[in-house]
Amino acid sequence: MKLDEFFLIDMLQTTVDGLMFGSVYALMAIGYALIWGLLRILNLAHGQTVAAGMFIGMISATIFKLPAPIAFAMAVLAGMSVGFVIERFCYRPIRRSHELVPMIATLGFWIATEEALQKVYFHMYFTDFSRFPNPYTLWGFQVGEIRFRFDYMLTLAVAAILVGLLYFIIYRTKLGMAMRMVAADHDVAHLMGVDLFKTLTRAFLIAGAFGGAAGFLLGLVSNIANPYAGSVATVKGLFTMILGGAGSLPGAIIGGMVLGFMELQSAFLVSFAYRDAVAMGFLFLLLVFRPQGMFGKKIEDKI
Amino acid sequence: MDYWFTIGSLTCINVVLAWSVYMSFMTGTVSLGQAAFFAIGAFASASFTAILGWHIVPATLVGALIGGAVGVAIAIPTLRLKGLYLTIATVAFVEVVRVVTHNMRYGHEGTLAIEGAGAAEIPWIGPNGPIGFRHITYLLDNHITPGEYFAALVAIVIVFGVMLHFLERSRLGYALRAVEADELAAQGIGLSHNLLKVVAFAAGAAIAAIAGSLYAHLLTFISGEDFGIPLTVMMLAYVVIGGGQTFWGPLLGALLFTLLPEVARFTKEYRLEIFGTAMLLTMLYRPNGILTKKMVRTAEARLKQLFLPAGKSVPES
Repeated sequence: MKLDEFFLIDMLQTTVDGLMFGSVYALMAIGYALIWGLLRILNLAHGQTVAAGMFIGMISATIFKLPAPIAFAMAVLAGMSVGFVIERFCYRPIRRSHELVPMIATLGFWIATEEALQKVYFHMYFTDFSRFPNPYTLWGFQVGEIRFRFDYMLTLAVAAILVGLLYFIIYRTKLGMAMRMVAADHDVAHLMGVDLFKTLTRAFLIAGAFGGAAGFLLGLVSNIANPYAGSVATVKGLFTMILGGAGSLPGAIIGGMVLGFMELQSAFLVSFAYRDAVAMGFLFLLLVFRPQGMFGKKIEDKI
Repeated sequence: MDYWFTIGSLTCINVVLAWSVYMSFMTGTVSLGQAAFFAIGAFASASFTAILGWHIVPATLVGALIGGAVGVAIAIPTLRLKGLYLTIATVAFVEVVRVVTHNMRYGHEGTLAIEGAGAAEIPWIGPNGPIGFRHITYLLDNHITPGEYFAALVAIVIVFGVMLHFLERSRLGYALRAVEADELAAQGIGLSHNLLKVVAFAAGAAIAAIAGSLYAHLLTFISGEDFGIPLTVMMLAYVVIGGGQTFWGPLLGALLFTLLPEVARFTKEYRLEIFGTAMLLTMLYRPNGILTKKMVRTAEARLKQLFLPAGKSVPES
């Protein structure tokens, strides 16, 4: 590797791409962080909302030939319905038991739905991955030496809009106030007249919408839809959330950017094989020194 | 028959793994890092036997020591966290170990295979990057049949079971349970809760490393990809589904969930869907796990009654 001006330009380009691509990770992690923040459970089935978004988005765009914005809406709807099912089956009936119980229930949901999705997928397609139509492949513009890909820009813009919307919901609406109350204390919120079930259902719907959007955008920028997206999303989203700090929304956003930046940068500087190792090594070191993540609150039990 | 011996051996290994999770579970520490210690034990002891030519017993024990030492190193920073925050911190470690083992390469060239499918191909003895660690031929070289290995594993499971049985009735066991119930109160009666947690975590790590060694020698081939998040969550699932109140729970969970997919083989392609749904349903209808402490104690009392002379009875506890 030569240190010349091209190297610096490439590095800058990687940085820009990484930050923009990271917004997909941020979207994945927000769903996790929302559920964790409200319920203190790890929703291991969250990746299935991403997979549903990607799959439904691809089907609407290829088989039904819908334009991208409508396909995106379908993907979001698909994510929301998966989120709804998760809440009804894996959370609501067992919400009074130990915090691990919903987690294992979502694990069961994850295994069962991922297998089912693969069955459906391989029934329809004969390859491991299929093309996700990306109408914006060649779009983009140049600023100096740096090229901004339109689909990356679009991802970042959609992510920014969704995050803005989420912040609006949380801090400016009644539902958001209810959610913040539930996050602080379930029982007190219930006593204060908050409809606990309605709030939680809506939280799962919002998390599902974020998952579906992340699935569609991930398919769009990588141009690929595959049946294993759920597991990958579960793991990546989980790490993004841990990186940022469990349950913290700004943490999830910054964590996603950092993860995207580090993955592309280490693939560029070190090697593609160690892409995950560098990111995970950083995460682990961070956890040794700051076990609560970048933005997490220090957790101490009070007497 | 060898097929069933191998399934039986895998079941024994899963039981040991479930107990390794159970060790730190006793102090209320939910570890999702067990797959990492499993991998460390597997790679370490397989290196000792395959590359250095050790006997399997010292290799396993040294592997367990390494696993336990890494466990202490992991436990000290992460145990500052509480509850599930700790759990997700341990997950990151699994991923680090998975990626490192997936990419590391050491060892030496083996001797040429003269006959068989791999003839004239020089094997690499040791982990070989993404190809994995092949040729862990200890059992084959020493003419240990799958049946004998299975018998040895059953013996190991029984030894661990007896040890756990007595641990649960010892002062240490009660101290561990006290830390689970209330850390502050445990501290108040003079128990060093941090020390107890580190000891339990390290013991769990060492047990997972032993299971790793047994696994590597059984399969003769390990790859970093085997030791990921799904495995680590599955181990925890054995404990939660079987019941985390006594050591019988993890035993039952591991037995059920290793044998169920095998027995349900007639359903062929829908095996994993059934498996996942069964998991979900168990959690819905028995959120404390299948076996609770009360059930185990009642069963024990009934058993004792059988061996007592007529007329006497054991007081219900």
